[in-house]
Amino acid sequence: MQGEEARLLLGFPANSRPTPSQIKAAYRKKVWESHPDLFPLHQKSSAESKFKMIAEAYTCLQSGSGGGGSFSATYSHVVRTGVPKSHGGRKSRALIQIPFLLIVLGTVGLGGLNATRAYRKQKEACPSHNPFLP
Amino acid sequence: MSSLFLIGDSDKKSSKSDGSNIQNSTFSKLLNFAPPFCISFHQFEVMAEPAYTVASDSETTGEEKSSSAFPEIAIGIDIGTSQCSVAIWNGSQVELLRNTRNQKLMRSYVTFKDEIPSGGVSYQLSHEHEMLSGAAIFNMKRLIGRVDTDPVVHASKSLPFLVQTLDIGVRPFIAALVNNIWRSTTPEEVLAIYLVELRVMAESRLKRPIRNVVLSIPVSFSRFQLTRIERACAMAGLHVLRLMPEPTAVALLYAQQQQQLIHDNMGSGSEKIALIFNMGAGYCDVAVTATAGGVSHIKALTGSTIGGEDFLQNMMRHLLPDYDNLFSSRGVNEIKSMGLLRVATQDAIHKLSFEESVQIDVDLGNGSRICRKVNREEFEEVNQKIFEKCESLVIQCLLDAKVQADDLTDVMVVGGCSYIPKLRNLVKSICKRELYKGMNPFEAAVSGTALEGAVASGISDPFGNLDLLTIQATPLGIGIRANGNSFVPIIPRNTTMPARKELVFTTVRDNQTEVLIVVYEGEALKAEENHLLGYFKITGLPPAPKGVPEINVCMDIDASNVLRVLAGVVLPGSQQPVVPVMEVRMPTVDDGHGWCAEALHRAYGSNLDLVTVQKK
Repeated sequence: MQGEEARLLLGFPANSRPTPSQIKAAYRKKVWESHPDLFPLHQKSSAESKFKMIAEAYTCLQSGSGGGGSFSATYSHVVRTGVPKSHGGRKSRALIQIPFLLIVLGTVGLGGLNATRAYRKQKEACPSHNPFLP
Repeated sequence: MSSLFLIGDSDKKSSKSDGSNIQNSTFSKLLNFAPPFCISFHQFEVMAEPAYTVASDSETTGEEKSSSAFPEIAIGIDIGTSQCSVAIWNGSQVELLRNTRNQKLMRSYVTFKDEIPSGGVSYQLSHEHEMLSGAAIFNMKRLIGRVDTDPVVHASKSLPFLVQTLDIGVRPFIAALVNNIWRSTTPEEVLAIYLVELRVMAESRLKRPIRNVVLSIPVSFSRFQLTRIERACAMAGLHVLRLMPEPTAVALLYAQQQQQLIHDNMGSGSEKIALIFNMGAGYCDVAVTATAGGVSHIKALTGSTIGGEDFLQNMMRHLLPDYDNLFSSRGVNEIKSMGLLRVATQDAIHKLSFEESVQIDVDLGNGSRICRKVNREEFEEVNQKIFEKCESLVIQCLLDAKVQADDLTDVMVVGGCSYIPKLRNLVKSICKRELYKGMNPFEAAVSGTALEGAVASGISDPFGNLDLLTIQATPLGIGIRANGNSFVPIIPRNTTMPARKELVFTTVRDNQTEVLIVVYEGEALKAEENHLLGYFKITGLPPAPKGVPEINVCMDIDASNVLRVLAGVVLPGSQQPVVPVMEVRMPTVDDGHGWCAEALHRAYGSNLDLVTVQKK
């Protein structure tokens, strides 16, 4: 499903950029209009097909990909890890890297600071006359 | 039946002379013969199974007529491994029905002691040990729809009735000891007898016939097991309106409570994310739900066959290390001492939820006597594996729902095991939150099913207490066998239901004219480690090099949770399907499906295989 089609299904203009909370609110509104549980027997099947489209549109917009072909990507992921993380896997992987990056930078920065301070202290304690040392 | 065939045969012979005339007469004869045939069939069924009420067609239509005038509220039933309860929406709130002994929670067992079997709804046990005398069958929820290679069936061999296995993937042999004779039965039959009693009890309380029910089921049940439950309900004359995974029923109750808070101007209307941990005697289930405005959107479900029964068995083996040797033979004496140990251990486990240590003193009658003190640490150590499994279920569920522990608003622990301190602490520490106090842990699931029963029957409440909706998710992935022996999910786990998804496959051999579509349900990577739901062949593929025909497999789950699998073949360049699209309702397998997958594999090898097509 294309992002444009999905946005139309949830009642947004085709080229708009709704926020996640807007998407959620629109989805919830549409659910009340289309969930088959809320319909009598003879209208169930039409409500059901409408609900399926809306559910798909919601997953499509939620993932943020907006483009098609998301399913084959899901599949290749399933084979590799055995855990179907349907969407947004790549994004969260980038997010996971952030704390590690912070830790690495922090270690290097703090370590460097400590080293210079120790060096300065050492130099004050026993000043050397070696001309090659800074 | 034979008479019908004979008539058809004789007519066929004579129809060679003049066609149309005879055909007409065949038709009229068929029509004439059909009604007596139908009646005799019903009579036969009634005669064969006197214990069940078989609802005939005429009865059904009559009831449907009346239900259109007065919407009949479906009752909610929670069939637990050890206890059952029934509830109904009484117009203003959920009410649990009590049996003649004023119990809301009734023991789940059926005893075959007398000619007519009787269940725990009406039957009064003279003593706890009577249930364990070998004449009673219980834990049917753990045995239903399982083949004899299933580890759960093997674990059930230590119950005080007969469970025998041949390990070839057929039904286990289950029997009750009646007057020193083994009377064989099936879990479906036991459940049906029990459900008939529940129905009679509810009908006498509500003073009207009951037909529609909403049942709660464990998350880990396969669709095959669901058909067994439906079968048992049909035998009991009940129509299943819906089968709800237990934690989703609790989620619905939570959604209703949140709605009520808003009505009383005490809660906020924002989205609330809740985790529900439900552990009973047989199963442990976890769900994460997002609730807002009465809609409970199930984000993830996880479940496993672990429960109080496992705690009990681990403890019994701990107290009596040569348990399996002692009880390998099934005499009356063995069953009796097994029952004595079971009751004593069960009592001890209950007490350990509130006390640090407990004294066990039980005489097993065969010369051995257990007299010792057991403390809580010991219990927790013996069951370490189960607690670890519970922990992993909660973590997996949060992960699947893409929810952090900090996002949770409320955390609920419900079910028969909810008072075990270690479990409560475990859930609390993972979710970093105190537990929700607004519900009775033993009645939450049945109350939820009663709410769903009212909502699904189309009842509306003037105060808006029934403006509720559950958006269910698939608890297990559904897919087919492809790419060698691997399982390729087409509808992944935790997909919003109803759903429709498709995937394209292709042939693996040149000029392959047939493909075999084997449908599985589960999470394992290897196809045969999942539950087999059914299989069918697509035949008549036009000869083409391998990888050219596009085989489109589509799976559809409709509003009543019926799964259909559609398969069509398209050759590149043409839009028309080359063979008619096959549509099959699943599951198709009946009993003995354990050997089925293996036999298919042996007979066909990779001749009818499929591989996935990666979309460009």
